[in-house]
Amino acid sequence: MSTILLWIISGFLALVPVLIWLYIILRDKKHDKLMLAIVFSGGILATIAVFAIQWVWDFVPEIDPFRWVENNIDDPTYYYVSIFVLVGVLEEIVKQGMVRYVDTKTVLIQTINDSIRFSLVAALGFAFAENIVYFKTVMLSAPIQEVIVTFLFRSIFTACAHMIFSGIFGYFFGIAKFSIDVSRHRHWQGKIYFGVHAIGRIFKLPFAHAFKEYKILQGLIIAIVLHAIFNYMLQLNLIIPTIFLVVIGFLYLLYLLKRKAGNLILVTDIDEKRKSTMNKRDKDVVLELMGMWFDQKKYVDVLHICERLLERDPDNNVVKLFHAKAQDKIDKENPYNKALGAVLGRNRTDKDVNTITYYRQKLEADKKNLPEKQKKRLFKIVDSKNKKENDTYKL
Amino acid sequence: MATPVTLTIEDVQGAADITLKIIKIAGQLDESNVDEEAKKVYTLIEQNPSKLNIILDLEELEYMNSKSIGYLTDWYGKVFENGGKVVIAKAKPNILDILEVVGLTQLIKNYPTVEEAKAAISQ
Repeated sequence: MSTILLWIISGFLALVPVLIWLYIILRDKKHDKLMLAIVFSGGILATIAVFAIQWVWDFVPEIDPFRWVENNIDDPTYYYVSIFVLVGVLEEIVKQGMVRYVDTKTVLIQTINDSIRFSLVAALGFAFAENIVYFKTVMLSAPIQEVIVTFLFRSIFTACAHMIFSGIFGYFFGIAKFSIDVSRHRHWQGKIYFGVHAIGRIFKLPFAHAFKEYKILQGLIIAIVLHAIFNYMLQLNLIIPTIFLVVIGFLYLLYLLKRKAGNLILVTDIDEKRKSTMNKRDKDVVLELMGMWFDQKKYVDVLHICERLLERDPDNNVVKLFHAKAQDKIDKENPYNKALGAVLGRNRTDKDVNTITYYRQKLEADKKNLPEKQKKRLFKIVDSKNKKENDTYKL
Repeated sequence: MATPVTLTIEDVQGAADITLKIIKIAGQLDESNVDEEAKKVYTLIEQNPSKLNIILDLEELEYMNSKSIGYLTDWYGKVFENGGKVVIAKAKPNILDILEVVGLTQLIKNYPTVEEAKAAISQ
């Protein structure tokens, strides 16, 4: 078989899973096809960039970290872990770098989920290019059974693994991109980030900027660790745990993509932003209360407060984030959340413990003069739920 | 140092089986003083386990933080469950604004005078 024909067949084989994966990850939302093509090409270019870096290292071996590991680490466990961490560092930075580059040139990412989706597309571009090379090599040297196994494994698991690493990095990159709104939201939830404060102090950065850098670093580290674990398990031929990691990771990505908070458009035009009709000090009190009640799982109360507050301050992204997150918390319909719960063996949907809504309904029941039996039945479940919650304020 | 705030509880003669109290809060309720002041109200609720009616006179309350709104909601719940009522009188516009956005005014009505609050709570 001629080399050109081999490349063409490999390209065709690598394209089939790409089309299927693209359908799975993009079916819920329409995207600009040109942007998708650009990001996909960026993923392909990322493989070329990785080869280029390795080519440079061949010429200047003194700066080649892989060679350093080969020459200095004898223990096989440490050796493989180091090599796989280096592979993770190199590939994850290059893949995400492509998305980041396109985002700086265009308005690519408007929501956190855009960041996840485009990172998945870049990962598919990367896996596509890698698969062409693998398929061609295996077709030249191995029997047909091995070609089929390689095709199936790389099309399903390797492509999926690349998407998981990039998708999770993309999620953190999305949070980082909207760090001003997200960090404010987390502040009102009373979350303390020692890492962010440390970065802020060391590099003399304001909180939102330090939060941004922290989230990018966090995403990178998680992606690298997962990448290294995946490669290391494959090295040890631990197929079942590898498949388990991929299934959990992909379900988690699909769950993230279904969340309302992820689909919230956080890019705002300052010129078009409507002014708040509520005094800042009073608004801060309400935001702090929402953070407190969110932690106490009073999601329905938080939802109602958000709706009233958005009438007064319609373009407040922090309030919109509270609203979307409260909706996500009580959303029992997210199929991927259910699936994740089933795989992990625990219920991932929080029960709501509202207070104001509960007493308002009770008052209405009183006004309607419902028979005592009916009232008791109506509030039996909520009563036992609220009993626990009332202890929160006990001094 | 705690921000100055005063919380006084006044007995009011009401119907035979109902206890009516006026709680007057003046100053600013914030993190430095809210827990201490809230204890007084919890003690009052514990001492009057059934049919306790409360009028919160907020004429001189300048500021209340999120925690104090949480306490207010909790007091309402405890009093309501025991067959009592809670109303507010003379709250300043900023306080009322917060309570409206939070949704508490759906449960606890505000009245422009203590007399009107008394009349409403006695119904």
